[in-house]
Amino acid sequence: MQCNTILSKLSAYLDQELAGFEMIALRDHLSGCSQCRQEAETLQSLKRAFSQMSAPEVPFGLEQRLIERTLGTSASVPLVSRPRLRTFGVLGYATAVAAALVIGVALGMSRTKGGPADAPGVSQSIAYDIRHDQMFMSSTDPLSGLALPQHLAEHP
Amino acid sequence: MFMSMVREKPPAVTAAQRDALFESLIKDSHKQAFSLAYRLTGNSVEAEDLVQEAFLRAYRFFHRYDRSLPFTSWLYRIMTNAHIDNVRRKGRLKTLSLEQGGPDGVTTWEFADESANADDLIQQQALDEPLQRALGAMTAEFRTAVVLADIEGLAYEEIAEVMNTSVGTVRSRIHRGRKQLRSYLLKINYPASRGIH
Repeated sequence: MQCNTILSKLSAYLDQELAGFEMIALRDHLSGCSQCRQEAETLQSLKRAFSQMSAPEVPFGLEQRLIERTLGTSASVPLVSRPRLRTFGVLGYATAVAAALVIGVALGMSRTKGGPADAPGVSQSIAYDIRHDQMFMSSTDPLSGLALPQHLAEHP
Repeated sequence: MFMSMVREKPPAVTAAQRDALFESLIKDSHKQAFSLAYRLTGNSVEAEDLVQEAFLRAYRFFHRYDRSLPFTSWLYRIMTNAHIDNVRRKGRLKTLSLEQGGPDGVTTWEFADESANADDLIQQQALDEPLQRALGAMTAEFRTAVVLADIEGLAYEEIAEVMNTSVGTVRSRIHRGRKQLRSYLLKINYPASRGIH
């Protein structure tokens, strides 16, 4: 390997994050190249300096403040991820399938355009929930740390 | 009749049980969380805000937490995303200078006289301060990757999971991040005795 290639892999080498054959190749090179070895030693010192930083002092009363501020918001927090249907037997499934068919036919006859969120009878909040769940799956909701699009952020 | 057959599954836990569990998680993990937040933000005030934000988000979405995974991994993911988001929202990277706030966010940085006969703790703090400033001068993504690797001791694969990115990206961020750290420390004359030159 050339020195440039070695230098680009040094960090991963020091973190033991290279494949075995690459680790061996780098070790071989370092044993014979003082310039790369010096670079490796500097990076190793840098890594050591950060790993030896002393733990910051935790502010007095932090634990209690976190508990009070976090659990004080409990009123609006859901307990389960989704409302789920309980299994309800063959008769239940047959009824559900029949109902779905009737609704499907009715929608097919009346609907002209638009997605589910645009259909009459689907409330804004449900449409919002659907979009929000889609964003959660695509890592663009508040949990992911990325801001919601403006048109959705306006809804409660 | 149909409605009577469709019933919601009762929640597995009551609100009181959930709150008791979450309280115990805060007690167990808040020091570790604060330590990471401090390394990411560089001062106590912002670190506490970040930890609070992360716990609030974790609590709000606790029903989505996969309990087969360590809570701290999930919390770290929320916290690092919140940190990167906060930095982006501010519209600029917070580059600390000698005139800006020290560890408490208010006072100025102080450098110990190397010749002074200080005890080990003070000496260690004096060596830590420039390192913390160097972290503060990095881009948020690089800083997060380096802190998770060098201070938290996570493997690249774990960092990739926390940062929701690939192992290759993590490798690149750590490599480039260390180069940034090194050039910053050289610029501020970090003691050569520590082996960084």
